Amino acid sequence: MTKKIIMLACAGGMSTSLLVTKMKAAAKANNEDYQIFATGAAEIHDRLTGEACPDVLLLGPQIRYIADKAQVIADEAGIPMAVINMHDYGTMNGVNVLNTAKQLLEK
Amino acid sequence: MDDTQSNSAFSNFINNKILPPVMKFVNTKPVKALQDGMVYALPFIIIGSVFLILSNVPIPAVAAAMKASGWSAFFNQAYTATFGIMALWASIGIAYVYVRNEGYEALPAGLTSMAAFLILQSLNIANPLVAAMGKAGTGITNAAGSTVMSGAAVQANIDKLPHALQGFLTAPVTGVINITWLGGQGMIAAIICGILVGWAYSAMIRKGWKITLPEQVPSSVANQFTAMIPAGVILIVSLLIYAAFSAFGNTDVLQLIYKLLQTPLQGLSDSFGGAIIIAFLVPFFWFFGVHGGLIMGGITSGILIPNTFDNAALYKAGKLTIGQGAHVVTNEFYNNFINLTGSGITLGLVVFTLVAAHSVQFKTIGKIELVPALFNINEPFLFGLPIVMNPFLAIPFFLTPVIVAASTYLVIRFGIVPPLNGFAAPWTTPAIISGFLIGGWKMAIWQTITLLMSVGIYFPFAKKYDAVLTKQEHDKEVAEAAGNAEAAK
Repeated sequence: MTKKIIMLACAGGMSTSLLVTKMKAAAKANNEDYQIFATGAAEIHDRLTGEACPDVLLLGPQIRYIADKAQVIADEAGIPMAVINMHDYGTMNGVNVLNTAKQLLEK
Repeated sequence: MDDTQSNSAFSNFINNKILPPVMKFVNTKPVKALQDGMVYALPFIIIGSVFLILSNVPIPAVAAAMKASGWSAFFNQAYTATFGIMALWASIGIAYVYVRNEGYEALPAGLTSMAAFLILQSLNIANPLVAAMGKAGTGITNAAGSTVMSGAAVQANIDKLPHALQGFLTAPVTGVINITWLGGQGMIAAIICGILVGWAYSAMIRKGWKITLPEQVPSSVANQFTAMIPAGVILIVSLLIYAAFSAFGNTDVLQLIYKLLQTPLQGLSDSFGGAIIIAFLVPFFWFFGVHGGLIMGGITSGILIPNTFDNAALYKAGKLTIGQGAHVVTNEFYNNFINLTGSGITLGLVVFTLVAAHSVQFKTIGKIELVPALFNINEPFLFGLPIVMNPFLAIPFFLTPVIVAASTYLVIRFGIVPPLNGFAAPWTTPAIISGFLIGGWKMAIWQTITLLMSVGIYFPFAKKYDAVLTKQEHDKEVAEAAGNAEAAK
């Protein structure tokens, strides 16, 4: 089985990259292997239409106003998408956010 | 509780009535193209501003040595070709992003926009003699800056020359691109050009206005032809606009946009009221959980970056004072003051968690926020503490940026600290270092003072909120202990 790719997006990919570190640690603690990365909202379109399209897209709550547009792109790419829970985001709760991603992947 | 009810009614109103239209506007294709397109100009602006500082180091002895060695001129060359032509980058980037977002091959559109932007402007430069002539003329000055021949004398001498020679001496310089319009002064025109070209190009491709070649033609060859018709139409329209302005107005559209649109907008952004409104709207959007810094940055950068550019030009000429036309509110005023240590200038909360917090929640989030705060990122506070929709922290969150903006405006306006020098420090540059870069040691000290203001304003509110959290945590512990005791029975 190939490694699942989880993509996080926020304004510039800066603050989500903090969360990515926590999620990687959470995955490692479970002995799970995911490719997780953060990027800016402007790159969602390119990433989802390009090669190595991620398997799930998570948006930072601060850009939830682009959720409708991102949903359209995600639907076209055929991958699930969700906005990260504010509290989980603020507390940089890697375990919870990783679980959100996993639930989306199972659907 | 009545209090929370009215709060939620108010926030419902904002969330349902105010935010949707704003978000709709922010999400429109032109605004998105502007926001993301400017990003392509940023590296050139930042790198260029480093060359700007190198060519005019603010230490006189070093500056003199640089000039004597000839390196100033070389650095200046690099500045001119990067920061100096930022409107050109913007016109390409904006059309590129617009068309890319529509899902078409985008580079041809970016280049078409650049060509259109150049077609629209007069490709000549007024003869420097003309500006020096006449009673009101600047005259001829020597390298030291003193006038060696007055404007009237220049005029009188030219008048003595044969007519043909007069015409030759005062004719505009042709065969050049006037980089004045590729820099700050052309910015709004470049933005409009980029958006219109992006829109027209996408519309034509969508309508199928393209040359379709037989399938046997290799796709890379066929792709070159796709752009032909949309680009051709756009460039012909640009040509007609240029011709109309040139024939009927003896001017060009860039000068008109600069006079009618850009100058008033720059003036508006560079006012006390403008500074306060911008400073207020950042936390306003954030309070409702959406990225205020990004939204306001996207809307204002098209105006604030030209302000930065003007200051850079003054700095380069050694004339950086308010009296000589320097702006107070530049893009760095926005990045490195209004949003210092994160939107809402939340350093005060960091300090509070370090020295006075009791609740687990405050301490935990404070620990997470410690390092990001250095780089002006504060999402952990915004969502974790949280600040978003939290009435306890609303007042300092709204107040701090407004007070910092107002006081910073005043100290620069009244010459207590010098104007920002045009150096484009990236928004992630740590506080105090960024202050030093964008305005020298006085600015670094002033930045420190604004951070102290943040501490002073946040402290009492944070204390109150911390007490509430501590009580909640205590109550929860008691309840759990009671529950456990119950279960043990």
